[in-house]
Amino acid sequence: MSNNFLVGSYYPVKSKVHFMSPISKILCTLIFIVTTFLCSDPRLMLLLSMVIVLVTEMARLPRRIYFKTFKSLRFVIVFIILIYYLLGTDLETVLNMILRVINIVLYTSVLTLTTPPTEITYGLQKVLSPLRILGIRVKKLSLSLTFALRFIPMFLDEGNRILKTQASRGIDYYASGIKGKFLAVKSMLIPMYIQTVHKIDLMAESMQVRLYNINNKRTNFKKAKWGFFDTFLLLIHLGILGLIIARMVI
Amino acid sequence: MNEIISIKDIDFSYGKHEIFKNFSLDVEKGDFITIIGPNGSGKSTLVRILLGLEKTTGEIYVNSLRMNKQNIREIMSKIGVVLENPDDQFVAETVMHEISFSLENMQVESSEIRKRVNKIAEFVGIEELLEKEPHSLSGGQKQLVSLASALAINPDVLILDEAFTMLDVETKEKIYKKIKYLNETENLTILNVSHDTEDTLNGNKILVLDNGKVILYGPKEEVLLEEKKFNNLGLALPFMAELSIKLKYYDLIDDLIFDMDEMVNKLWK
Amino acid sequence: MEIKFNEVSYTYNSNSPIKKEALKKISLSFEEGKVTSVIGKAGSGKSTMAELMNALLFPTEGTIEIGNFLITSKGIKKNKRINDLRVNIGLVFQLPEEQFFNITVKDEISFGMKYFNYKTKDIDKRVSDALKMVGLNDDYLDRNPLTLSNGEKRKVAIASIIAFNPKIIILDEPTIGLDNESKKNLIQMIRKLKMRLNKTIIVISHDIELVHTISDHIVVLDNGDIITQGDKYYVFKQEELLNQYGLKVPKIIEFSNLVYNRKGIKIGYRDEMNDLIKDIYRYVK
Repeated sequence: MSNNFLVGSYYPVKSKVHFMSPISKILCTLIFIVTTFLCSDPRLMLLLSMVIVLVTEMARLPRRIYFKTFKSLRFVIVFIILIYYLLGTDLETVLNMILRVINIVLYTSVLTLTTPPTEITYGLQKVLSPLRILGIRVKKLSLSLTFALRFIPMFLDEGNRILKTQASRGIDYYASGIKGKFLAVKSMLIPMYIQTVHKIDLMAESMQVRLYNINNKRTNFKKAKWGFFDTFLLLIHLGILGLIIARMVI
Repeated sequence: MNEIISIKDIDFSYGKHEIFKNFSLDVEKGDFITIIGPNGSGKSTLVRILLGLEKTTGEIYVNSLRMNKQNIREIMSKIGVVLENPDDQFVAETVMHEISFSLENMQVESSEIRKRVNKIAEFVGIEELLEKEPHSLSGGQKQLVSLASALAINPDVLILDEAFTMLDVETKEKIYKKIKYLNETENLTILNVSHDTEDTLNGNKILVLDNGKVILYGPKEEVLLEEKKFNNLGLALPFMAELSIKLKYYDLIDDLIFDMDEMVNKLWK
Repeated sequence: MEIKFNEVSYTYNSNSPIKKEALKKISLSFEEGKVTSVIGKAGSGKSTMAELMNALLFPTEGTIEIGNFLITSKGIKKNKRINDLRVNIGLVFQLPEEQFFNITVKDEISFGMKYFNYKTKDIDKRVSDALKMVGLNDDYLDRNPLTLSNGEKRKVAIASIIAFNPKIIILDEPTIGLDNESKKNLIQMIRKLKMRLNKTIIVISHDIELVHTISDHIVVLDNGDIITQGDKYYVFKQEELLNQYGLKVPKIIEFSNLVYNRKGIKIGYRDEMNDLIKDIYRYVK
């Protein structure tokens, strides 16, 4: 059981945002990302950040997601500052870039925290379905994505368990220096690989036994339906996008 | 044919290691068979073969359908499986979707799915868990979800492969109660592969395997008298069976008695 | 070496909506040189307790004394290194064979010792001794752990823990997936470790028959609380209480209790089937 809940996994509370249709949430995410790229003024970028704060509050997510996001992005931010320093650009552009990265990461975090992985891939599948015309196998792609997402927590849990077992035998990742950490990872990778491959095999077989076949049609039973709140939030996002574009043009 | 499963002369090897040779077995509809045997006897391989996961020579019939590429889907739509570790098979975010998974694959209509999921959740006793995430449940609850998923397709055969190894007594008894009920009222055929010989008291027949061969197969009242064969295989007899055999030796009772109450009453009339 | 829990609590995910109190102000002692078993339903807090004892987790509240070491919510007191503690505690997890990553049994068993800084010549001897203790011999040294049978894998995993000679050995569900023969071997091994080497042994298991066979002291947990504890006679006498918490008593005791409840005949606490038969014979004739 991992004690760290927030980086990207589903955070199970009941909120308006949690109950939204995954399709609208993904559309909103895409619109938001496009909006951030059209924004060249850090003040407007901060306005977008306010939108995130609003959505986070409505989703009843804990405040510490901001802190965790900053923490996980600290190297990226330093890197950006360095690059811009070397290229000699002005402060405003750098600030804009940093805020853009933070906004995008925060927003997609909100998406993954409020939407279970299978819903995300269902939403992606629907949103990307027009791409089938270009010959892209959207269904297979979204299935791969579902399973990648499904296996990440399993992989992490397994890794955690193995770290503990190795700690009992002398290699404690958390209590070691660089050399110790390196050895801990080495002692963890092989069993983790073996166990994960084994579990993946078991799961694939179990799905086969339960009659799953990627080529066959299957009933899509009760995914979250589109409601008033979905239209409302989508219109707000489109509105903000419109405003930004208008401001650019005028 | 009263046989719901008929295995005729199959051979199966895992690489160079021969597991089954000329192996045959018939299972009658409505049987509740506990399959036991020492490690490496072929118990789990047998399950895999019945689930169509391994190719063998010879013939296998399930519900009078020959097991091959064309029939496998129809055969599997009538076999429900509960494995040892439910975490290894959970695919969905909520219990409800986990239970409906097979039904979705069978293209059952949405309203019918909802009906069946609710019905089976009620039967198994997990209605309040339907919106929960399968991984967040306790071990016992997870296995109940697994059972519900297996029963949702209305199978003719239920296969349990070491399904109780990680469970507490309470859940184990709960599950046995439910499946015995189905076995008795709806003639559900049950194959229960187990490490724990105590489980043999729950079914009506016992299959003892060793090295891919059938050592004993028959009603439990007969199989459990074979103390020597059990000892030779390093298998323990269930407590009541061992007690009965020893008391019989001292002429204190006449037959095997599996129920403790019955035993006490027999000894002290 | 003794272990003492002083009002220890542990809560998982304390800041989230899925927080779980795994242990609630537990106080208890694990006596040196004895076999103490911890039983309880899944989710009762057993495994959390095991991890706390090996400083893999630190208590949310309370302290744990292990010999001279003191573990608090902030870590190990007196600035001692974690490995100094861990060399004294051998924790064998459930399904320990899942941690194998070496090519030979020898490497697998000596792995731990290298990091506890044992000299090489000592290591070879310890590996052989450890193998002998679990019932295997030097023929296994060059074999690949992954090609062994389940029972053999379990033995090798246990050997890799006892090789560094910890004073305390904690076995978490040691009989899961083992057949009858392997279980008997395990019981013999536990007895050897206790009698010959005076180790403090802690067994966490829901295998009641195992617990009945080897325990000097039994602790019953449920939902993070201690329900009862004592020697096996005391604990298993409370059949109704245990049933309430989803636990059974050994079949031999269940039978004796039934005889007493139904017919008022006291067969007495029997460990072995043959003794039970003798008693029954006596009381029936």
